[in-house]
Amino acid sequence: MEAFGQAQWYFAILALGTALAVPIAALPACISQGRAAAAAFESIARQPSVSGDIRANLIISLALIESIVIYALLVFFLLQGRLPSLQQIIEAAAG
Amino acid sequence: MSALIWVLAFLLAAAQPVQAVSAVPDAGEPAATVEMEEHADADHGHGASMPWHDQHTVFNRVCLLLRDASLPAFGAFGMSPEQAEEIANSVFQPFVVMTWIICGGLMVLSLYVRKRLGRVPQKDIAGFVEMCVDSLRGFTRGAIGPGGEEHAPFIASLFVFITLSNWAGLIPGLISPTGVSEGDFLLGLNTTLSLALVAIIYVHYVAIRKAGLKSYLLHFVGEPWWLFPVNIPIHIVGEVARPVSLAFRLFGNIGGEDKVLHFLAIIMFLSAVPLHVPMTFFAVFTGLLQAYVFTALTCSYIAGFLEHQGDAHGNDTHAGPATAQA
Repeated sequence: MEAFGQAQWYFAILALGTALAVPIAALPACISQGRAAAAAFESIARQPSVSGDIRANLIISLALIESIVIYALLVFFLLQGRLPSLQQIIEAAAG
Repeated sequence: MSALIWVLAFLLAAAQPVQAVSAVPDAGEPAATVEMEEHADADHGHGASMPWHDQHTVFNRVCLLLRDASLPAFGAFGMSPEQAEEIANSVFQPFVVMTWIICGGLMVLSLYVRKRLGRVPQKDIAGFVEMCVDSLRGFTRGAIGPGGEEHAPFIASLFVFITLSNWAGLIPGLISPTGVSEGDFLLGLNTTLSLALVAIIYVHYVAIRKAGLKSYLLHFVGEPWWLFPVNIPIHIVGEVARPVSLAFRLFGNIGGEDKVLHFLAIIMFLSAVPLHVPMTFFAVFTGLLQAYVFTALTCSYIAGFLEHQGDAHGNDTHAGPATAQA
């Protein structure tokens, strides 16, 4: 029964980590993407003649910022496989 | 156009062995090391059985039929039945079959269009393909700089292949080779990692070929030459991180997109709110966008190496805006 209690803690913390991995990474990434887009639009409004260059660089830098969140998403995919199903929890609790 | 076909064939040849080898052990390890995973192992089956054998979609059935039909052909090469089954299990996974379908379709289309090339553009699909090739050539020139058109066959075939792979997952019943995952098995990483490896090998090949071996090595030494003990490891880590980040970005974007579509479709069945319809249109856009990002980053890697060519090492902007990070 001792081991079951420890496993409960392990899975509770694992579930929290799985659920919070993407939101914690996404929050600052959203803010910085917004800042990048705002700066790009400002400079396009100031100098519409170079809007093509600015747009290409904006897309690439947005992709680079986004990749951090994508790494968190991959961690989420990996952790998600470690979580037991409801069926397994019920069986473990009964046994 | 014929160069495009050859590069596609090269891509295909380079991509398949990586997938066939790394599909099973890569993804299988984490499941085996965790002690709580007996149930999951039972779900995935034992021995020769692969996870995709349990899914009963039409496309999976077709792949199984292809696998069974090909077993005698493997035997003809003098393999034992176990070896033949193992190899056939890897080669005829649904996402690998999807890769073959996309590559084959592109090759047939290219051959057809090449036959119809003429002085006047056609008004059917041949004209459309010509327009695509033209704009992709312009895109390559814009991203690499003057003289960048010579890389257009490679860059354009990467772009077209990645775009079609991303869009394949939006067709019901099919899967996108760049974004498919089954539970713990991140299968799409096989496709994206092999694409990124091919792209990075091409970048280094062009760097050595165009800028010369001396300039290529000087790129690693860095600007004040006496800082080389710091610069060389940093540059090597940066070069290793490039394909990994390319592959993970593509896989994460497309796989996450497909997962979200999957859940929204389930919500549609539960609550009759068709939330997945706008998301599907958005996925068409992001599929194109991710292919653009992949090829634009490859182009800027090439441009970063080529800027050393010829002129002195005075300018510090060898990496450009996009290549400062891996």
